[in-house]
Amino acid sequence: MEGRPPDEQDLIERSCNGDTAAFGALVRIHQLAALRVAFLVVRDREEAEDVTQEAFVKAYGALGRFRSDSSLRPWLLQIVRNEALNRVRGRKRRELYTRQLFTESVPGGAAPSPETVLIADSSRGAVLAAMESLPEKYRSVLYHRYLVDLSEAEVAAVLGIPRGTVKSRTARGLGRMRAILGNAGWGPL
Amino acid sequence: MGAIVSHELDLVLDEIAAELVWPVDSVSVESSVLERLRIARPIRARHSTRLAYALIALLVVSIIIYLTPPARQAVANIFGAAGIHITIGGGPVDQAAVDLGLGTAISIDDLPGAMDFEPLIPAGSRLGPPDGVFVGGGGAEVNMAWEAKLEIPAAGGTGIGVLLTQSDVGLNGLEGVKTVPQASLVEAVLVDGVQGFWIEGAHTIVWVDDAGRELDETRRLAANVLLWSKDGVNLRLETTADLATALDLAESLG
Repeated sequence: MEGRPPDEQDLIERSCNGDTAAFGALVRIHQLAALRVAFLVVRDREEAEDVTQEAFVKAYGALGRFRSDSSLRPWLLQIVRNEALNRVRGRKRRELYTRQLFTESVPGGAAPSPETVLIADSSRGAVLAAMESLPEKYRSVLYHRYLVDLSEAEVAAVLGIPRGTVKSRTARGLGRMRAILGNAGWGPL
Repeated sequence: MGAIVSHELDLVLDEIAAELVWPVDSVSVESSVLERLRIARPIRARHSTRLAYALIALLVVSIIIYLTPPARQAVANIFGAAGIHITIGGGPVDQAAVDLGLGTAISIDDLPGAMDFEPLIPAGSRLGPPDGVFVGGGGAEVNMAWEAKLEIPAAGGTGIGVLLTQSDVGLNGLEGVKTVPQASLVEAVLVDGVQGFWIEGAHTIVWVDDAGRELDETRRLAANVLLWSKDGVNLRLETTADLATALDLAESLG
């Protein structure tokens, strides 16, 4: 997570020199994480796509200012998140989208019984709902850490907070979730 | 229910993440981005912009040095009229602290214990730590100021982009606001889980507490205002930034 693929530096240099095909390769590498980060903020597929496009265009224009000794992915994702936050300006608090985000598919070969699906779906749905109910500062850290699968350092860069704050908010956020789930009858976690 | 009881929560989250199907996973933006880049101007080579700015700054400094004092004042007036703030000694925040009467400068490290109440300290916002901290109102309030940045323009020619004022004087919590004259926008928002108000366009704001008492709040920067109350501290954040940036800073306070 901390470094980048050996050829990414070359792609960055070529992009800085106006090679849009090289930048296209960078887009391919990072678009999945970018789209997920955007979706977590705007909660709409088409708007997340639009936000991500706009963010990559801005990143291309700003690539000359990117520090070559740092990692590209958190820098890109920070631009994506800022663009997404600008889009939701003035919106009212977002409704829960845990059901849209979660699929009931269960890994493994045999099809699960309906009861198993129900238990798995509802328990995981409860976990996601508990995360969604957290204050923003905890929710955003946990979403990026666990659901987008970023490292602590990347979460810190994307959210613009110290790494120690990511660590403490992760611990506190998980603690709050345990309390919420315990109160809701999901037992100790 | 047993499916998650037997796991540590972080492991459950890892399992959930592995099973998630994101609505955006099938999207590809590469072709759209490249199409937009075809009609956009090419980017400048690395460092060229910075070098150009450095050369221009050097040229301007050289010109000012060789000008006579009256001419220097004239140049300052011209650049000032163009929105470029020229100060001699001290940054824009220090100058604004004098102009706006923000109070006496204090190190943020010395702030805990220096007041009769416990001011909230920003940690982890996108803006970073404040560029200046001042004790004002006869020791009754703390003002934290951030210099203007590219994305947060200076407010009212002060050189300040964000001004956060904290106090515990007079009122007990925030129940509502009145604005005089009518604001262009008053929006109820949640600030880190507590009630707050985002106000655009109002010149004077009246803060109402839970006992119905009122306090006039005249804006110092003629910018947008976020009002809320937390842990017994009344907070007023003035900024040219948007609501998302204001909330980011507000929610970083602890």
